[in-house]
Amino acid sequence: MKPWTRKKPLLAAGAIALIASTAVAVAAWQTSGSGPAYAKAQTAAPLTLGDASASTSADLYPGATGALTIKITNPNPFPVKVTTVALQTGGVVTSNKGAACDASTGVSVSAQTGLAIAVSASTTATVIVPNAASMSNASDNSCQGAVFTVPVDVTAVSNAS
Amino acid sequence: MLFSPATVSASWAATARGSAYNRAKTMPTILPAPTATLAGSAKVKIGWGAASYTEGGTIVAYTVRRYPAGGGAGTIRAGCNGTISALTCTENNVATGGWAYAVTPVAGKWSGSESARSATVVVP
Repeated sequence: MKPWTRKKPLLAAGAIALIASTAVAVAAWQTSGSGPAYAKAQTAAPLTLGDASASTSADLYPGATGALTIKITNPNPFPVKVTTVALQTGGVVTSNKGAACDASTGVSVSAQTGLAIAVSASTTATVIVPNAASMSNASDNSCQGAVFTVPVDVTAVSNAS
Repeated sequence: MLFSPATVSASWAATARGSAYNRAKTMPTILPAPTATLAGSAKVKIGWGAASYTEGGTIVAYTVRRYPAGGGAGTIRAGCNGTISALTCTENNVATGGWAYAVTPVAGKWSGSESARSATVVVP
């Protein structure tokens, strides 16, 4: 009779490791059921931000706070949730009113955290982040009616159930 | 069986870099004339209605100017000089003569168009 060896347990351990390494690459998916899980991982595509200038509503004036409008495309087959919006490090707010306004927009942005703005799977959505911007009395007179472009970093997480 | 039963979910988070947008209001371009009435010796009281941004929202600060009835450069004296966060003011030490007043809405460095001028008030 052939002596007993530990070959089979080692093979099983290897299979577990293979599955585990596959799961690490997954962006947002869920599988359920019984038996061996051989679900293929999806690669999450990055969100992109588009031009939302036409969707803005005028709400800024010296001494006021206003909203940021962001056009977000989620190319993934799962929904996401925007959790933070913040001015890019070193980011400078510009306008469509020229140099005088750009030199003194008076616009500042406060980082918004703890947001829960849902963006459905495979869609482009225009979202509003209230009270994210404010305008000081330093805003140049030429900034009246200006559309401001605010460089931002938007953080999102998967929102799959 | 490797996972039984298996429910596997992974979290995903990413940062997207791009632009957000917002837009500023505009000051009104047409304002009705204020009223101007004698309020005592060498004093004139000026009153005006609240102005609004073109997109809505009340403007709370104004400047006032006084012009010679026959035309000429504007000026203003104590009581109505500087930025006024009210809808009336009384100018003091107004010189004898006929005068007309106008108001301009302001917000920080922003200013709107000057109003039409008031009817002439004569300071004896």
